[in-house]
Amino acid sequence: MDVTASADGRIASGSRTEREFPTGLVLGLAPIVLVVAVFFVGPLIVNALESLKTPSGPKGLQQYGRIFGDVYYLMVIGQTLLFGIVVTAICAVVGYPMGYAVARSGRQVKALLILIVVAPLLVNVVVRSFGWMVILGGAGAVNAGLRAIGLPKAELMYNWTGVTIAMVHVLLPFMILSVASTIETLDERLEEAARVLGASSTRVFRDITLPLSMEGVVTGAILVFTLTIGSFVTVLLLGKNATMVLPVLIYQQLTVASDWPFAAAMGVTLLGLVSGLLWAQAALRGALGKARP
Amino acid sequence: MKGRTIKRRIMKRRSILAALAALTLAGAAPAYSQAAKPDKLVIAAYGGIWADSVRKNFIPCFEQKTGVKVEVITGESADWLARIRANPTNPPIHVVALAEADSLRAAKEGLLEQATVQKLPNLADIPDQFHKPWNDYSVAQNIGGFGVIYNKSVIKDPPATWREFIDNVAAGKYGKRVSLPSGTYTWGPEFIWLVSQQYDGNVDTAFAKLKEASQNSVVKFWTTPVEALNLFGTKEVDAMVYWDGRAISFIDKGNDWAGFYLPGPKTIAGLAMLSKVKNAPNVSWDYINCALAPENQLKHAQTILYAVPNQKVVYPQDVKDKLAPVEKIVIPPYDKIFDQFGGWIERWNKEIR
Repeated sequence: MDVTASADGRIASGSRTEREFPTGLVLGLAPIVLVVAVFFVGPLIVNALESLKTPSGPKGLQQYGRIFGDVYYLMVIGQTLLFGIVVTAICAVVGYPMGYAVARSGRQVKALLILIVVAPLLVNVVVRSFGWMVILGGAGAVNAGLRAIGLPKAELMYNWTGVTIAMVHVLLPFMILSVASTIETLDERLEEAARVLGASSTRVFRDITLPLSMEGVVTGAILVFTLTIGSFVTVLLLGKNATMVLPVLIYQQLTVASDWPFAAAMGVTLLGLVSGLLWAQAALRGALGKARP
Repeated sequence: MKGRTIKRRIMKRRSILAALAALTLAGAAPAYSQAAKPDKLVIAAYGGIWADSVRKNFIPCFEQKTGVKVEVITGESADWLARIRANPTNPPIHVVALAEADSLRAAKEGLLEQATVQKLPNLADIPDQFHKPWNDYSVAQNIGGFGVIYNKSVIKDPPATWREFIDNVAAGKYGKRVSLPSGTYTWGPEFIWLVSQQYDGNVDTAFAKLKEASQNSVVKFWTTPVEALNLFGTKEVDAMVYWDGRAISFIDKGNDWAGFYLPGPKTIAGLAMLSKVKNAPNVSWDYINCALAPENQLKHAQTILYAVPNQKVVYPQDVKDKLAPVEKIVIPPYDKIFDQFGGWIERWNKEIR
């Protein structure tokens, strides 16, 4: 019956039956729409509504006024963004050659390198942070080594240095794998052709390999940046008050101050910042793409 | 043929709507009545030795009495509060052990049920100071006290009072080798209050002293007890403000280079506040009653080395020597300071860097 009805609809194109309610389509899409609504859009709406609440009085934007009207919170936003940029830049510089090595290795070496690269992700973040404390602490392995060769103690913990080292350690795999997957798809004959035509290794890298693998660097940078400015456990354990970032403030407001509306407003702010930066980055890439001859 | 198809579609839509309505109703209605015996009771416990003690000392009593099995979920106070807030009509946790401030918040939001001696007979043996400030919505299960753990080979003669200790730390007397609780730790605002009490209740002086301490002595203000013990255990610091039970357990594990004491005149209590969550099954009271029974309270104290509030408990001398005496403990006046916590945390973030 359904087949006949469906056939009728198709044959009678432009007739009344074509405007019939598309039940099949709606039912088919319903699970996806439901999942997106419940798990993605729903929480964001709840969060946005929570951020409009005030301890007393009508709903409004007072929580946002607290954030953007206070130099301290603006400074924390600045620190959060700067932290994300620095970690992303280090990951790009360190991760690119490693990604290149992974991509251009033989099958067995590649498998081994990938295993080594993803190993940090297999360890729980708290355990990993405590591991860094043992290595970077005043009585830790690095300082023991420095003392052994007669050098003064280095302050590597409870400052931006320790937090950045730990964050780069865990996020480097995202950059390496993104770069490696792009370089793998490059046609090696392009590089060979450039060399045959007399280009030096530096020029081949600058004019051929790097431009063609930028897509992987950008993908890795987006992953590393968003994960960095959203992380708080590592910063909480390896940093201190001076290394404050927005996610740690959100965590504090939820767990100690129990000020959910303020925490929600900071969450919306963080989301807005990330979305804005990603949009700007996409726009810039689009503009550069158009400007290219 | 077309008419039959449309009719079938309408029927299908009706069945889907009916199914959706049924699902909605099923989600909204509590899964059980409070009076009925549930399949299991879900209780919250802090991790490690705390949860071990709950399993060993409280649960057998409850299961024997009611025949109901218990599921223990470990975590932290703020996490439990968030969970019962999210589903107050059908709470996922039946008995919580919230921190003092969280317990007040939960009671204020109508998430907890008030205890009476009829519901909770062992409440009669608990001194008022351990439940009345919470209007009987919660009752303390055990009492921890903030003290000072120190490296005996470095600090030979630790100061006897909090004021002297804080003055020394602010002046940098122990070098940059001290750790204090962060103002943003669960009991951080209470610590700020404790410091202020050493200076005639002046919170400004407390912040000034803590700021000096940050500049001259403090390696890190700790945010979790595990992090703190890591700092002290790796000898990153020589003196640290810490909980008595955890400190003594650490020393008893062969770390006799460390010492611990409670500076005078009094120290603040860290209480785990037991509460029956509103809309939880009534057998929750039986569990709390087991947890407050004198024989189980004593076993709990022996296991975790925290004092217990039941006044019928008689400690063996070797245990008594390790516990914070109740007369040395003071409970902060939450009714007066609770509303200031948010401001103190904000001030902490801005001033102590």
